[in-house]
Amino acid sequence: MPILKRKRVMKITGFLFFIVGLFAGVAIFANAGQKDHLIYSHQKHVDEMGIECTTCHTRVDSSLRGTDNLLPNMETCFQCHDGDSAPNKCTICHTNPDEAEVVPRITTYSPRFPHQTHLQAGEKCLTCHVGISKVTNTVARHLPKMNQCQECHQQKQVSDPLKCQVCHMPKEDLQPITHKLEWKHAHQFAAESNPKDCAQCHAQSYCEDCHEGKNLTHRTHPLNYEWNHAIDAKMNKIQCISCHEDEVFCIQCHQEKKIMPPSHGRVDWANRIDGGQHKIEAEFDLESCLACHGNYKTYPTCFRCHNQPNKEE
Amino acid sequence: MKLKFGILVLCLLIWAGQLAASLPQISGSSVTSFLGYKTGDAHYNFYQQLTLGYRPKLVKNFSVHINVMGLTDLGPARVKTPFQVYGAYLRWNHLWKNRVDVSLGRKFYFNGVGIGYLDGGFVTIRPIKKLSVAIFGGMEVPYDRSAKVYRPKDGYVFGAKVEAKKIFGTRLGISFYQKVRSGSAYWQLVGVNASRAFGRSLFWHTRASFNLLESTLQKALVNLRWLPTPKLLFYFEGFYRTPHIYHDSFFERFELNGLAQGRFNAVYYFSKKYGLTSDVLWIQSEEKHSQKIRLGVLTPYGIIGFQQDLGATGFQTRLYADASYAITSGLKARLLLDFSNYQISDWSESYIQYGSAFRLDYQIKRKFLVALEDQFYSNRLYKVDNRILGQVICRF
Repeated sequence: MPILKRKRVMKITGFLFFIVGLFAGVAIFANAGQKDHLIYSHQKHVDEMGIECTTCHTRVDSSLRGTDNLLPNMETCFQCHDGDSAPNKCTICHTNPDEAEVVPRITTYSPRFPHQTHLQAGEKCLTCHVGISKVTNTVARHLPKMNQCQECHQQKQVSDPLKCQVCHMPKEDLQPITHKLEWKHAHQFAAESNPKDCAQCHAQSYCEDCHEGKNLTHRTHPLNYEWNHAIDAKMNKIQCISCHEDEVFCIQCHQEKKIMPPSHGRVDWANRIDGGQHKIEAEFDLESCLACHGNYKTYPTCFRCHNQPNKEE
Repeated sequence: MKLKFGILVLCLLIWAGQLAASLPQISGSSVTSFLGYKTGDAHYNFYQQLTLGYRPKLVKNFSVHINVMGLTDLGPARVKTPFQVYGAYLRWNHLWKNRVDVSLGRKFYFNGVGIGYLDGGFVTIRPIKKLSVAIFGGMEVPYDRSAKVYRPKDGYVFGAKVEAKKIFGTRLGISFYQKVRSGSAYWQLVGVNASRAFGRSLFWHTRASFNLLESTLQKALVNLRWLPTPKLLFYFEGFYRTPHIYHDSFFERFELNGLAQGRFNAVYYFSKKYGLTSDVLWIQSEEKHSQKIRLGVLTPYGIIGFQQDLGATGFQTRLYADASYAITSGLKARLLLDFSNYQISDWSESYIQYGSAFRLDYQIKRKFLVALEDQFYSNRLYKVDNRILGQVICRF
């Protein structure tokens, strides 16, 4: 091999060693201060070995509160991992036994949740903790979500699933963080994306309190909205349509009360030369014309001039 | 005669509410309201709203839902629709191993392209876990929500939505919606929608619909909601729409120009209880444009805000406040203030309106509340319009 070529191979090999060494160094350095993690596989214990949940979670069948600590402690593990029937080395369960940490306990679950009542009713652990028997780590908690509880309670007619107090404490703050930030506008998209999420807390009549009804308490529209709503009707009609789905809603007031916009009194409102101001207005907001002239069964005032069969600009 | 009928309906609804409250399988609410005011004639309006959900123990997965209102005016004025039905339907849920839901009656619907109330049937089928097919059809509901049911020959509506959940983490839907009258379709839309949550802080949603009869893009919308921290929100919305003109309308003869709209909103809580909100809305046609700007201070008691509208849609400078305060554990006060100087268009006169409301809610029991509210309006027609609202709210 020529000397120059050999030197190049050496350089490349050296560079590769440097990179590998660098990564190894970083990995060792990073590992040196690594936090302890519990090594545990539900799949191995439950699915493969067929161990009952209550063998480890010993107090579950007498638990009456969701905040009870039902996770097994080390003594429970050592009952099987005694060194004879199963190994009892620290590294079997801990990634860093020198700085072993206690697995965080579940303290925020509903205090009103009783495991005992559910087990006595014949429910299996896997009914709520769906999929936990296949899990090979302790990261995922596999606690049931609220809609799971509600579906079951509704199907089995245990209690009214929309009665919050069945599970929640009387003064618990149940409002999700998303609801506290401009939710009045944004809720429509969440409601479309996942209506079941809304139904966890709200019956449809809750929507109708704002989307229907008489606006007696001004939760939907501000005071005096009858007088200045025209600005919003032109600006943001998409919002109007979400409740007043058709122009018939506008027609009932505008036609019956004969409310003529001030613009119609202008001298240059309409002419046969260039259309006048009404052409410009209609191009911007044709839907507003429909509020009075929109009855499909009759030819409106517009027909007096716009009577050509073809499309008009 | 109509007054007597109105009072009779009210009495029946109150009686039904009391009966419902005594049955354990029934949940819902009863709201009795009185609104008294004088604008020309004196008005003494009574409203009785009743919402019921009945789940009989004997019939599994079956429920009955009713949301009705009776109203009457004890003054000389006439109430056009003394009995209004917002919802009245039967529902069978979780049928066929939780694969089918069926509802029948008057119900609200929204399938992405169609929205409203129908007297008809609604079926949702979930052939597999990640796929749902919703089909509905029926007659539109009178705009005044009267109990009248239109005949199919007067016109009908039908639609469908196929939705797949979590395809690459995204919820995808395709919708169809059609309105028919006099034997032919006058509104026919097909739409797509997609939404996705990226982690717990970023939400994306988009929707578009296409008018098949006019071959035009009817609506297109995209919005992003980003919460980098629980105290900070950024919201962006882009929107395009063509005017909502039916195919059999006289106005269909005109070339329709679309409107583009953008909205940017930011909310920031600088402490646990206090925050700021700002909102900019912009709308643009081919030649005209308009803007709305809102600024608000968020407090534990409510919001104080400023709003400015400019441009082709009109002008308005508005100040408003909505605040609530719990005087005791059962007694709550609410104050609403609204002042604006507005002009509907650049050639119309400018007007000043002022409104205020003071409300006291007293919770006698956990599910029983009485409220008294004084409302004051001053606008271009009535310099002084004072109204008294009284409410009795019972939930069961």
